[in-house]
Amino acid sequence: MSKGEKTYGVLLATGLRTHQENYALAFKADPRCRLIAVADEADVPPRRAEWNRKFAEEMNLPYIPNLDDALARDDVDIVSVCSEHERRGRVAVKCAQAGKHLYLDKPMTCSVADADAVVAAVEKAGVRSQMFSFIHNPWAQAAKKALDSGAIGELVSVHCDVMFAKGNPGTAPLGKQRKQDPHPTRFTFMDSKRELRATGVYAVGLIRWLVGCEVQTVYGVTANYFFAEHAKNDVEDFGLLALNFENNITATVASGRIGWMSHPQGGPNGVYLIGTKGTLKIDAYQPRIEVYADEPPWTKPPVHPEDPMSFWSSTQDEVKTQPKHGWVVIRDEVEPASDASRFIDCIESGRESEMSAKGGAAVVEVLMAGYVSAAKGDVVPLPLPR
Amino acid sequence: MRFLYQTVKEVLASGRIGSPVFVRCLAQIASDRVHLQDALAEVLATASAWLGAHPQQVYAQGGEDAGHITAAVHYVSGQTALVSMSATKTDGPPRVDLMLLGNKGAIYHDSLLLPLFAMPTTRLISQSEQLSSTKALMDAVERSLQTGKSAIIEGGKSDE
Repeated sequence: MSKGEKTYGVLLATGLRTHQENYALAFKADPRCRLIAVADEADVPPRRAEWNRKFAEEMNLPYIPNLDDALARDDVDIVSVCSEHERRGRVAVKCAQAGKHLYLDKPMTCSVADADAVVAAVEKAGVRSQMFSFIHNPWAQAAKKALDSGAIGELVSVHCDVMFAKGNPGTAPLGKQRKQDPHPTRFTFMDSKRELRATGVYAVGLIRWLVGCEVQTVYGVTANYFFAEHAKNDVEDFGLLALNFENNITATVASGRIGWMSHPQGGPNGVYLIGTKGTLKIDAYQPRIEVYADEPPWTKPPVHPEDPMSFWSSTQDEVKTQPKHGWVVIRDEVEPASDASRFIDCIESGRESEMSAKGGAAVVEVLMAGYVSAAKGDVVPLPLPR
Repeated sequence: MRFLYQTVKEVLASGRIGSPVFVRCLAQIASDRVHLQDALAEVLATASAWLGAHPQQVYAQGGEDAGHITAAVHYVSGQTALVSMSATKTDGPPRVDLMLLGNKGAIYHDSLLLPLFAMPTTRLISQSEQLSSTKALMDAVERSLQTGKSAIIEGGKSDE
């Protein structure tokens, strides 16, 4: 099957107030794709069903309230799975068992067992899979290219910052270490995310992709530095990881949500490569120009009562969030291919995604080990016990 | 570096970024001039002074032979620091990339420093508020590097 010969039918599993708001638009923008419907499990709570229906209306799509009915359709080739964390693994397994390719929100699941189940289902069904990640971003591609060029020699160590400059900080109680639950089970809150997972997933995925092998040990620290909302829900707003890989490469990660005004753009996003011949910093906002003008300064948006941390595009639109204009990143591509389009490339060419379900599962395992480590205060070897 | 140290101290004292909670410092130095461990000690002393906190636990990676040493430090009152020192090529320029997060703001600094100020000298550590805890911290770094595990810093154990 060659490019342009087929239109892939994309089913959107779960709608508003998830990253589906972004993924749906990415698939819609790819001429090889056609959005089929929004669907979800039959027993979702009324509020979730309402958001799904609203999203279907906004996208001018039908809403199919029983996922099984949607998966039975022959015109569905791909399912974009953005169901809430706690049921994402179950939904993904069901979709793979129906023979559909899986595009998975990140992190792929909230337990190692669920991640294993998704991988098994994908392999058994012989479908393609991809977890959303940063690896297709221009700066990540630049890091890979630089590494592959040999400019810094053999890779020795990597550091990655992934933090989001959103939310109104300064409200978390300070002065003591966070007591981390080694095996957290709840991940979905209106006003907070477990940021080691939510933002650390990008860094761990990126580093693992750059290093090219698996993590052997994990050391993690979690903290509550910024937001009362996170502290109230007993979820961290900051996470630190130190990893050792099979090939003796080491890596560190700083991840979290740090507040609207704590960065001139979207937050510190970058990777530092230490090699035997030199070091290299790749910053998501470099190269750039900086613009200063006699215009009103950027101001943070009002708090949306149902999304105080500005997780979702729809709620940010509702409170008229403006982009920050001071830094303008210089790109050599006008419009880099989206992560979703890269997945379609994989399906068309019959090759495995570089961030397949298997890779996503490996990332999940590192993150969950990070919680175990943060709870016990010491290094955790992988694989985790099954 | 002393100028950087003092400038950051002054911004912190102004309260603009709130309470300092996290320091991330990645530095490259000419390893033929300074041992990585000595340089790490200096920057960790600086980080502890900025945070105004006592280190409790450290996990370290790398080593002089590996060409880099990285230390993740957890402080008694919850703050964290991540400091990585790596060796440049013989004639490579030194570099410091700093991120200091406060609970209401952040400080960023990335520069190729003039050699005179490329790395803190031993004068800094001797004048630092953190002299004793830095020695204990570096002992713990050494233990962590040897064992591959995290190490408790003598005198830094929380009473919680």
